[in-house]
Amino acid sequence: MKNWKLWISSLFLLVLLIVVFAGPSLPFVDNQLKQHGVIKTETGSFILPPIPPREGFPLGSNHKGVDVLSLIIMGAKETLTIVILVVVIRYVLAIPLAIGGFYSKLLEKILQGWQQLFSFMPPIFFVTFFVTLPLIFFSKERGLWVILVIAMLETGRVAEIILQNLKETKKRPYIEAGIVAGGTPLRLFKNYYMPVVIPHLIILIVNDIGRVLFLLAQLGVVHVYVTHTFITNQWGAYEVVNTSLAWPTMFEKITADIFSYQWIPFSVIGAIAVTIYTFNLFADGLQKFFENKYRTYRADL
Amino acid sequence: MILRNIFHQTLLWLITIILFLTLLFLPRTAAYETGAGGMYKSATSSYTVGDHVNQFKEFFQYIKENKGLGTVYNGVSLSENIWRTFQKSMLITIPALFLGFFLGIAKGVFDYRIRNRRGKLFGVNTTRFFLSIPDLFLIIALQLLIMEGFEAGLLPHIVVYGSDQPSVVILDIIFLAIYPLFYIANITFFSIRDEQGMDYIRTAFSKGTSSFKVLYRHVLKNCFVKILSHTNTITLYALSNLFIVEFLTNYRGAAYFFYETVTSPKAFMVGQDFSIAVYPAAGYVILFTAVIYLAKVLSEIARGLVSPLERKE
Repeated sequence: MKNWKLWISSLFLLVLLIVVFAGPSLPFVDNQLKQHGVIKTETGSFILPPIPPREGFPLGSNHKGVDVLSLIIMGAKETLTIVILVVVIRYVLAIPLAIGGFYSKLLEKILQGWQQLFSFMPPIFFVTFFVTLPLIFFSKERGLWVILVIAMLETGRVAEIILQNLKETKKRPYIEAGIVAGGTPLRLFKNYYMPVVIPHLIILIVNDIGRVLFLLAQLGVVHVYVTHTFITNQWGAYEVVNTSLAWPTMFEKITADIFSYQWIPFSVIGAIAVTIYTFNLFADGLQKFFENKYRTYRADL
Repeated sequence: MILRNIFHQTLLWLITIILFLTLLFLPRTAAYETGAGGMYKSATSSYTVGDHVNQFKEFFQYIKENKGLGTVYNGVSLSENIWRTFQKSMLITIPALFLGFFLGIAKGVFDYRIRNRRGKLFGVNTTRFFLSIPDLFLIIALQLLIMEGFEAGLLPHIVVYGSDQPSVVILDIIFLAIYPLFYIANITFFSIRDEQGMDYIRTAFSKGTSSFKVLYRHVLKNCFVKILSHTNTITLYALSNLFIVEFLTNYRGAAYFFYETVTSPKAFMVGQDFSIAVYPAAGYVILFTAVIYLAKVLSEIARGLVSPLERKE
């Protein structure tokens, strides 16, 4: 039980996985997401949605009378799919770029340029800006575009971190030993660099999952969602509505909700906070695990 | 060395501005395809280099003709307006950054000193905890707490929502400072830990220097180089958070208006032009990147002042 962070976060992750895969069939979850109208209480009074937390609505309901807890559980899968997709795309681009940058000066320059460019502006701005381009706004694959944009924004940063790690490793004496022993570049890479870099990479990826989810939450607050559809209204205009169940979409009316229907934003941000905390804790636990395994832990003097 | 670095950064800044403006001026004409009765079916956008170049030309012509970015209302020029909102944003960002930076170092030192004593739970563990939960949660929780506290009669009436109230300014500074504070505290803690056991510390102790002096005069000075290399990260983060904080507290600063200029419409009509307010956006882009640029330059200068090694190199 020494590495309590790893144990607790693993437990949380397990719960999260259960929610994602078995959530819709749990007994207290309304997987039809039924919209409740007026509710009559035992005392005979009526409650209009949004219904505050009460029996049958552990976390209250939203403006349409849908149970918030069910919404959160049903939305977990979509939210995490988006996050994982972003992280996968980001690393599929970043890992070859970093390794390429380690061996080729040209790629290193490209990588640094990428990182520098996007370090001049907060990512939230870039996303807000890119998603309004008509090309992306009207695209049928808008979701994929947005995911790609979010992934690309920090590819440079991530690749830079991996590259730095490779460079730090290069300075260590055992690499020289490997060269003296006649290791080919491929062999050095496979047997000398990889074992050191992979644990770092795993921790980086887990941390990034938390970061992406946080960015999505921030974007949700400023009404930028990954997917949307258009519906006509009575004036012949087309309203942009989001039909997705992802968590950040529930921040839609946050500035108004926070005064009167606190349970809506608070439940959602709670769910997001717990998930991000789980991933960060998991990354911490993994770090400790690898430090113990490879004995890289620095003793406290 | 410092001068060369600053020159380097300036060059980079100019290049990024040009690149950002190029992105901003991407042509946004949409060709709509309609079905029966003018019903929306789909829309496509086309890109030609000529259109793109034209946008640039128009922009510079516009500046030339209007001697600036034009007016917003009754004689107030757009550039004045941008500058005013920007100052408003900086009123909360700059104090928050300094607060986060110095309190963060204090917290890091505290974490280090308390690490093997009673009460170490309040040390590095709290720092890690606050780093791990999103500050969006803390912001919303704090807002709710203040409001509930007032309802329960525990707190005086504090305005949490508004643009000109001093209480909102103070709250915004606190909200913005949360993450930089714990981020810097974490960095400080680990860089002090990396320094321990170095020869110069033993030398200082052997000469009879008090441990307080060793920590503040010798160790921290060496840590500053590492800590200062993170100023860019916290500035970027604070600016990112500025959008959220201004939005959540209804504070009408630059981030809020910037967001307004680039945001997508909530509804559209067939045939609607999709152009955004490019000119104010361009103004804000230049100012925001300038903040990051200044943060980079400041950290270069501070590093040069603190560490003789950095100066020579």
